[in-house]
Amino acid sequence: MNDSSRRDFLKTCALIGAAMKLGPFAGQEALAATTGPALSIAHFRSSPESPDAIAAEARRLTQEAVNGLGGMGRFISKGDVVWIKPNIGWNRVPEQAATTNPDVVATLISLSYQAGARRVIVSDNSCNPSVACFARSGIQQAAQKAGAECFTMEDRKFRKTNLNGKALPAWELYGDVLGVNKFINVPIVKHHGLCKATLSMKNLMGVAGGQRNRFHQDLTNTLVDLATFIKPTLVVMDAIRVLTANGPVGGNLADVKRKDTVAAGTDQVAIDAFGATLLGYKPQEIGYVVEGHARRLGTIDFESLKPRRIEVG
Amino acid sequence: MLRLVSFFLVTFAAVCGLVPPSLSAQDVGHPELLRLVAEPLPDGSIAQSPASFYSPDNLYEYMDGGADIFVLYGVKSMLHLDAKVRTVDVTVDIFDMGSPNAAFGMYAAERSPDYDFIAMGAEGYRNKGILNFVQGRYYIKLAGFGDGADPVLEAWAKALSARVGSDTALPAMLTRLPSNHRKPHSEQYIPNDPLGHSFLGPAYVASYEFNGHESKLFVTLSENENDAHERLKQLEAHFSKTGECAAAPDIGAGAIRGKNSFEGSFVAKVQGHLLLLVLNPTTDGERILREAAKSLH
Repeated sequence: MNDSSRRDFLKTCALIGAAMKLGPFAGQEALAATTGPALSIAHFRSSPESPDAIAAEARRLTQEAVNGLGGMGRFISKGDVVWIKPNIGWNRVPEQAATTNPDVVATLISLSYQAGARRVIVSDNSCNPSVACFARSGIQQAAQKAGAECFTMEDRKFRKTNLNGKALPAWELYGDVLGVNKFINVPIVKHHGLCKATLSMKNLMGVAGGQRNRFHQDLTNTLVDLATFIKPTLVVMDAIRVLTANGPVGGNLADVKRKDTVAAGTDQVAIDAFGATLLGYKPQEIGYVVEGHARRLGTIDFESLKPRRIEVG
Repeated sequence: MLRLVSFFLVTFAAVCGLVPPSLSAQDVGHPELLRLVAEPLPDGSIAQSPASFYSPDNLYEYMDGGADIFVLYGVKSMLHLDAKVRTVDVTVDIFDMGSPNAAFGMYAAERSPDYDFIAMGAEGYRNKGILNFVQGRYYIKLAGFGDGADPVLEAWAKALSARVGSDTALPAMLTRLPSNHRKPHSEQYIPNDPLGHSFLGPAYVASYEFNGHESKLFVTLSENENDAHERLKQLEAHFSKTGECAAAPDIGAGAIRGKNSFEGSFVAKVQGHLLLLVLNPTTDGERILREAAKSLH
């Protein structure tokens, strides 16, 4: 074996190793099929206005949505290292609904620790300058207060990973994510100028590095490739405030509508199909939802899962 | 050569302390954008770091999927600056769209008729913590965070508007569109593929409301009258293939009307180098076409 092929061999081993480490949170379909409901939707009956009341609403809805699936103990075990992946992509305050509600994130951190997690990490590969995004979104402060490690991603830690995807054979993913054993995806539902909606599968772009604009050349397939590889342990979707136009960046409060909803689930396609309806779309109008269903990643017919609907407040 | 001289001049000035921290030698490629944020910054603001610049090739690094529509509208370059004044953090994003049409088009693609409009630049609006406006070739987006952000944004907007220049007019074509029943702030400029048809672009679009019914006027800018007639033929062919289309001499010489199941009904005619089309016309819609033909004559 010459130097070049030895290097290639070692590189391949590293990529396979990285993929294998993803296994523990890649096996959640079996868990979803055997131990409880796959989708839970908690809705608040009113739309409180004050920041404290909205924070309380977010905590309650998150708790209820997770309880609707059987509680966090179904997903997190003693000693787990949990990666929580909210949307911290934008230099926006929570009211602008471009980033995940910080109280949803904080509640998930608390629930994870209560279920026995050893470490909880919160991070995202922001689009706008990350230091500003982490602070402005309120997520860094909320996460640290709840006891999680919350830090911006470092360029040097992205590594090429074999995805075996239809559009993405391999891509740079954040190495530390590949080292945890539980992954909770926490998107916010919002409009997206290119693919109509940012939902859970789109939120996974926040663990990818490199020239992410290349995703946009074929979002339908690249997002499903990524979602097929990562397969989160749990998805908790924030739809308390929803950005209905000019996403993903937004900024104008006139584009933000209250939906007062948090959904939790184990089927990425189903939860995205439900999220699409909150923006007024049919699930069939969202390319990556259709593709995810076609590739049997989940079901576009979220009602077929008989979602547990919980009215709160 | 000029660029080289500029480089040395700016470098020399920076070394001598003549250039404020927000300007650096690497920025000489964006003199027009830099002029807009030259010191002193509005309202006593202090730049938090040097301005950064993006091109169509790397705008996604700043705004991810939001970049695509800017590229579609032909963005040339973008300046981003973070500044602070008292307890307010200000984010300044200035998009050089290359032309007033493109700047208006991009601005209009992001605004809704029900926004809170203000007299700023050619047109602008605000909400808590944001103020966006268009002027000349620039689309300017300001965001403020912290108590007292809105007056700070207004001071920034006024200063930037003054630095852009005295021309605060919207593209001239907009003033020539029929004004009766026109929905305020509904106008758009679409550079490519209005309604998904390349033969309809570029076009100005405006909505008209009459008795609760909304019609849309498309004014397609053709190269010349022959080109406009060619585009009308393509429109006729499309509707003949997907629905129905026929001559409409009651509206004017060469006019056509038609419909299909997914785009609805339309009336259209050529006026000089312009192709005029009204989508979903009522009787009043046909009046819009006649008025447009008259005012755009």
